[in-house]
Amino acid sequence: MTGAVHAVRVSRIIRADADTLFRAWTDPRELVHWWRQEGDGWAFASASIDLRVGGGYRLGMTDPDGKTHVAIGVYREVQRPMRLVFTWDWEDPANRVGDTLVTVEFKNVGDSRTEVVVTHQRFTEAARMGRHEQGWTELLRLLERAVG
Amino acid sequence: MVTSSRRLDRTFGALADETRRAILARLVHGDATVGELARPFHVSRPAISKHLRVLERAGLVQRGREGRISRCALDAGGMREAAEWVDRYRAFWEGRLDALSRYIERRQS
Repeated sequence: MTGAVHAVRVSRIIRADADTLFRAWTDPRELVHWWRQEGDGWAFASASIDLRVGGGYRLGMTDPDGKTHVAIGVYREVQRPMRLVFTWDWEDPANRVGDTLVTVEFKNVGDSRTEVVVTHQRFTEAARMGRHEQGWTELLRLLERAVG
Repeated sequence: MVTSSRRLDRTFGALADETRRAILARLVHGDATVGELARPFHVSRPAISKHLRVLERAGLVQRGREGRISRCALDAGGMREAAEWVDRYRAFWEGRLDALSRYIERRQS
């Protein structure tokens, strides 16, 4: 993945090693525990994970309004414990968003802490967009302000 | 959260091109004719017109006519939708990382 072609990029530094966090993200028994933590209203209903390149996952969840959604996708990269890349879409044909790509990186930042970085790209062809990227998310903000 | 939209695909597809992003960045500073837009780029006017058609279809640019001259302006609609998509998913993933963080803290305490 190159430069600033990201649609969405969020990160947290968490006091745990990369192994622990990678497992929390990829073991369904762990995933259902943390995904349903109170807070933003999302709850986890079910998880099935076939953790290998080309393997699929299904994550059932309810949104803050109580509606159920099933996220589906296929693992593109599985590099324990550093990196996880998977496609992301919704199962309901009416809600399809097309192929989007999520990358989760686990970076050791020392002192038994790990930075977890989630990048969600709206389109999978981002990789061929070239290296000389200006941040188009920033452009989007600029444009949004311009049009008020 | 769940937005079904071919238009969003078109919008983000349109944004994936460097020349088209540069055109949009230029239009932030005000409307322009096709000729004015073509000037800073080393491409022909037909090539710029093609980019503009893509931007128009994506709901990012509007074209209006003044006599024989067509003027281009930013289109608020497509932009807002794209920005909303980004905001929604940012909030979603922020929420997930918060949840992961709390889960790990609780497990360790």
